[in-house]
Amino acid sequence: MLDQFKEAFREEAFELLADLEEALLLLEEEPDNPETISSVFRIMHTIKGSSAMFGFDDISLFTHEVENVMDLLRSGKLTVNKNIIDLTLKSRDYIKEMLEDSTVNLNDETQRTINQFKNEVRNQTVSTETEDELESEDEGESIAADSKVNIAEDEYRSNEMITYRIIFCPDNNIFLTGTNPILLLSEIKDLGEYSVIAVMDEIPPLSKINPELNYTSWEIILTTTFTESEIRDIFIFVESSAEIRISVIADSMDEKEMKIGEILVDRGLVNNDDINKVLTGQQKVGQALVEKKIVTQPQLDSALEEQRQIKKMLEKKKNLTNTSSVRVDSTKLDELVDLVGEMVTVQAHLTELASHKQDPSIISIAESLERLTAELRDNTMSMRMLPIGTTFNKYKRLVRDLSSELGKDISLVTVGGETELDKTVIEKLGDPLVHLIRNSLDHGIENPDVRKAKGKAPNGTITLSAQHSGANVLITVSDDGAGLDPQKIRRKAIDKGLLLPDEEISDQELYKMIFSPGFSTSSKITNVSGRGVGMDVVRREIETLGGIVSIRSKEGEGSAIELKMPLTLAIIEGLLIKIVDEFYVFPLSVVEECVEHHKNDQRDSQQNIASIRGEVLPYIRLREFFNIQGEQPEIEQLIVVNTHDQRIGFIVDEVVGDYQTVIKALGSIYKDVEGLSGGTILGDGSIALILDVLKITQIVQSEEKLLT
Amino acid sequence: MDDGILVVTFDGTQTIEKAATVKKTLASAIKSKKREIMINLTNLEKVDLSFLQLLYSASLEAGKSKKKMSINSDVSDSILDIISLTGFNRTIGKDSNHIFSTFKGNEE
Repeated sequence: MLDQFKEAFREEAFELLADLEEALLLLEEEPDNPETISSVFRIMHTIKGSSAMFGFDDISLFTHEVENVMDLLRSGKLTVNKNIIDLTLKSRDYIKEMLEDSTVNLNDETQRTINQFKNEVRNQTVSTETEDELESEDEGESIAADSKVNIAEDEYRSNEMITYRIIFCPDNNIFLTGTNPILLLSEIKDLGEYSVIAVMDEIPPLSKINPELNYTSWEIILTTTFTESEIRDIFIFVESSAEIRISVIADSMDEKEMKIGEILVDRGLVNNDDINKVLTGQQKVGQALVEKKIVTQPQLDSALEEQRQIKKMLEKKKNLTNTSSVRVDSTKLDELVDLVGEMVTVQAHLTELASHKQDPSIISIAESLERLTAELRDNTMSMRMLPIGTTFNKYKRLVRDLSSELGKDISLVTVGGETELDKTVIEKLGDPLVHLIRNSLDHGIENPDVRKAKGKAPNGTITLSAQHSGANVLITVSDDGAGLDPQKIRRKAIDKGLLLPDEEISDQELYKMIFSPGFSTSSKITNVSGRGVGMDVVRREIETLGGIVSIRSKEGEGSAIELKMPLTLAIIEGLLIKIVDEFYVFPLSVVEECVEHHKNDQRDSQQNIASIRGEVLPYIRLREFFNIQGEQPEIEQLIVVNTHDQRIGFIVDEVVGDYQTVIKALGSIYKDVEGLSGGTILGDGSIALILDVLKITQIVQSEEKLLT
Repeated sequence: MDDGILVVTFDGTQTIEKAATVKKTLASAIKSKKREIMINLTNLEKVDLSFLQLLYSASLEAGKSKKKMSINSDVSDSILDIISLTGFNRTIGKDSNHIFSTFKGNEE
């Protein structure tokens, strides 16, 4: 049982550490923002507390030290600088290491970091003390850095929100005691969500007023995390000259809104009989009570205000619950997706059967089921969706660390972090993105002096953006660096034998060559990139995920690599086709058009080349590729697909239509079969294979059967 | 009664020490022949509760004498803050159309 809790703690701690990293990077940008400092402190505090609770003593001890420093930042006794950010980031990495591997303990390195922190504290204290001494000699009492710590604990409270009703009735002569009620109200306001009604019905007209007496009292509704006694402390000096009543009207356990009648009863202004008396009318209870003179208008106003504030609190809480999450094992989600897939299949089967039987009652059931299944499918898919921004922080850190290592000044700008993508896609995108960003850091963006010489700003920018585009998400890594050098790529391509010395190709074609295996134009190898294993791996990984890589570049202005990723890997839009009695599915995303193909359209009996609107198009006969026996129809269908900016045709017997394809793995026996990316079950229970168009093209190309 | 507007200006600090004077000024304004009284608080910097009470009280008196009393809307933020902090501007019920109700925009 404890292990389970420990696991939950670890998971939570990893999330906190990710937040911490984000907050620290933010803090570096805006070192004076007290909210960011507080959030860094809070995270440290939480990690320290919960790690101690679950027996991660080393983590707790270490975090405690760091937390102390954060506390000094929070109280303004220490100012944020690069050294502190560096050390805190380093500490965060140590904590992460200790979490990941329980054999990692406090060691010399962690101790060194703590000492570095202490040095920093000492340095800053010394320098401020000298400043202080310069300003005023007599305030010479210096406090040792280490003893400045320890103030944080008490300030921590549970964040349970409680709504109080505070009745504050100062005596008539409160002004004479020198008390200013406005200051008290202001102090209460600072405690939380404050709303106030002044009860002014005691204020007489001018002819009867004594200008030096108080006639006002207040009803305050306060939603706060502070306790009743803490609120009472504010009134400590006016207790003898004012009546103060504090009562809890709602705490965070309350779920329901109170009716206005209930509030008035609760306040002792009316009783249930009064309410029942006025309930018979069409009027609202409150107004009826005012008209019957059971309560006064200000009393009702105050009660209405209370109702409003409670409602506000409940809504806030609801939002809080809405955004909070339930942790679910991702394998359970995968199982759910599988089940939904089965259900989609069964539903398709039923729909087919219903239309076959022509029975209206079955058709109506089938239609309802279809609607429900579609909803269920969309819901399940959305559960697997995560905003891609969750991974963006990782890259911010990468850019920060690597740019200083390379002596460059580079910042990472992220756009569209809220764009949602399938969890699996996000996970698998990690490595390719790291690669692309490293490339931009290393090769893309020039050194500051080179940039200055070119008339550019010395600091470079890498932009990582994500946006929806139909059923795809476009992820772009762009930089404002030097851009690709076509001449350099050309030379390299000729060296590698990818290009003939006198071959003329467009710059776009040249750029694509950087995705060839073993291609790296950087002449020197750094530990950032330049081993030549980069871009082809990136392309392969993206393509395995069903994505497409493309590249744009302008010499001197920068380059951009665009990854077009499918939203999900579990269900795709497919084009269902038939050859003899067998079904296949093309991913619809690559299909450009379908045209009829007559036997005599073939230009050359040896070469598989068709002509579409005058354009030459090489094609592959799937019938031959899969070695399917059977009679070839007189009119076949030519499906034009586009992979890697290359158009290729596929000849099939019949196009059935578009098909929502639930992708199923083919199982271990078939895992090495090339040219197929999976299978799917059709409505009638038969199986269709999903084609890996790119792979088929490559296979045929390598057998040199296809002219390109 | 005169149709014109009488403008009464309060500026600087208006706290309890000046309460008696403020009362006198307001009383004589109400006694004047003008039908409408406009309280000008544009250059008012600091007030306490006594001043707000007096304004409210004066508006009640003015109402009794069938006169209209209002505050100009050009008031500094610090004064607006105090009006909303003290709840003098809350206008929820039907009959809450009083002198401070022009400042109700201050609440959420």
